[in-house]
Amino acid sequence: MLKPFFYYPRHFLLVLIMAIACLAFFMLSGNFKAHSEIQVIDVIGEGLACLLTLLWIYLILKSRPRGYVTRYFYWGLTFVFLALWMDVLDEFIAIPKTLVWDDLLESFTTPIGFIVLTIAMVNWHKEQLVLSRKLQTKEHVFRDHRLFDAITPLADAQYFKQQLQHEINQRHHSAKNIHLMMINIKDLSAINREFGFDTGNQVLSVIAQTISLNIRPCDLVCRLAGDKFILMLLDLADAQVEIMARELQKCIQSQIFYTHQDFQKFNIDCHYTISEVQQDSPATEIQKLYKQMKHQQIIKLRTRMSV
Amino acid sequence: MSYQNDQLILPTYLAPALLIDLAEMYGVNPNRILKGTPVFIEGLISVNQCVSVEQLIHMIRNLHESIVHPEVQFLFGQRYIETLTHPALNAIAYSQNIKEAIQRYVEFHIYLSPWLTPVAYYSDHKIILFWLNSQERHATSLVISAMTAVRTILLNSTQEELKMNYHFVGAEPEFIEQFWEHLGENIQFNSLVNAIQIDIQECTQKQNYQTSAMRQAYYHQAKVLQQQSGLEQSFLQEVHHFLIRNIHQAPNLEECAEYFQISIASFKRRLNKHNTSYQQMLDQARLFTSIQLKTLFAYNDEQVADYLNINDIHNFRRAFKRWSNVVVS
Repeated sequence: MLKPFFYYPRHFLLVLIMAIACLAFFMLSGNFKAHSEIQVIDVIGEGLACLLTLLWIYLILKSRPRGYVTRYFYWGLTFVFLALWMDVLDEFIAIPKTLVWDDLLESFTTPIGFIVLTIAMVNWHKEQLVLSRKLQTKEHVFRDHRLFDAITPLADAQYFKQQLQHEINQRHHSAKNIHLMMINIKDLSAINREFGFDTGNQVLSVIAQTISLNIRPCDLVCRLAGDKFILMLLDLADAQVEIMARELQKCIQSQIFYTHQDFQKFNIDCHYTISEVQQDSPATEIQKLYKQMKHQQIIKLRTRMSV
Repeated sequence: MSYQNDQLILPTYLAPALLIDLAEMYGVNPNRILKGTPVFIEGLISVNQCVSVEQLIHMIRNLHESIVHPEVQFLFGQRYIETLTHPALNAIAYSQNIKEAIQRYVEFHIYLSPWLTPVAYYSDHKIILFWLNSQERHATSLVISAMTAVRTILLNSTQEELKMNYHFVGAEPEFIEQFWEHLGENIQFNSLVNAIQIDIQECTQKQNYQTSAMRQAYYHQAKVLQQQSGLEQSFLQEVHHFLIRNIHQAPNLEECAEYFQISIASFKRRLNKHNTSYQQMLDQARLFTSIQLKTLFAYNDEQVADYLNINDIHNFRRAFKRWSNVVVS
């Protein structure tokens, strides 16, 4: 149970030292209460709050990159923890009324903790605004971290279907047209076979970023499945979507990849399929794209065979 | 010789190692996959360490519990074949036609998809492939992996997309695009059984460069390996074949145990180890027979009832409903 706290020894050692210092002050200047004076409910409630604050500190340290926002969170939560810790000690040790510092200490640590936490929150909000702008093409209206893809920095098909449904519902009120584009990476299985699955995954991840950098902020790109990406493009004419698709294809084709171990160089090719959303069901629209892509492949195969 | 579910026969550097790789790819602690099994990460690449089918299934379940992303079920089946080097794969690649390829898959399944036991039925135009004891809802992910493995094997060996229809017992899931991507468009849900139906007419004959000698040599090579390790058939397959051969009489538990020359208690215990019972096996054999007669040979209900030696059509319909939990069409 204590294992997580050893991941950040420096941070938790400081908390521990402060907690022990408080305990020492209390023990030196106060007297232990009799059993009958101890309020069990208070001890449980304040003790639990104390432990949960420690858990918050751990979660913040674990989930956030180092930086001043994290530092504010850490110090804010540490002060809150100390205030709660002193409350717990109060339940066991009685401090004589003549000593004023105890009251002052308790009265100051709580507001200091909350003020530092508020500063952290304000900065975190600013940070989120910047990050959201960066995520704009990968995230549309809602955020749901459970629907993020494991291999690429994009969301998955489930998220895409939710967003498409949202746009379809919106369309009933406006005259927006929605285009879908499916990008299929060619011969990814050959890359997996030749250079390994890690390289294949890296290719998918890089292409995901290439696509998201080369579309408008209002568009959305997600990883559909396997070697396929899907894009939702709003308010564009057919010709504009075609131009965008060709440009994206050029971007992907011009990308150069290197293998980790032996510095081998290779390129990637891709196909694309476009359709305009007509139905009300996202799944039907995606299936239409699949069929269209398959049809294109069959036509290409036939022309190659006839040549 | 047949193998049991709890025999240590599957090398840890194959399927278990792949499960660990997939877990790492999805950022899951590999120890979570091995939880509840006697295997440790350190011993995973040891050549001599083996796990049982039961333990492998346990690891696959652990993987699905740890990774919510549905793609992993498909990737496991696909990558298992892509990373495998075994003479059984050559035996299939050099088989004469699609029917022989499926026969060889069923025969060498312990190397190709050890987590489920397949059985196949053939007609001149169609092949139907079932998996034993795969009807339960929790077995769906195992079926998905097995189907993806079969598709990868056939795709690698024939170098072309065959006309395959995939049938699943459960309702259509939300991640339908994963099925389109990894299995193709012909997917049916709410089916009576989990099965693949392959249209032979659509299949072209095999590669031009193969010779009859190669076809036999690769088969022989795989067969010798299988015989040496005593993994010729699963106990479930043996029981199923016995029941199919005697489906007209519907043998009882005693007759079946007597055929396998073991006591009734041992027979029950063995089936129990495979998480099934004699009645379940018999119902399954009758269900598979009914479906294959209807699908492959266009039998009507009366003819199927007659074949199964069930006197009354209403009795057959009632029984069929019990075997498959649906009303016969």
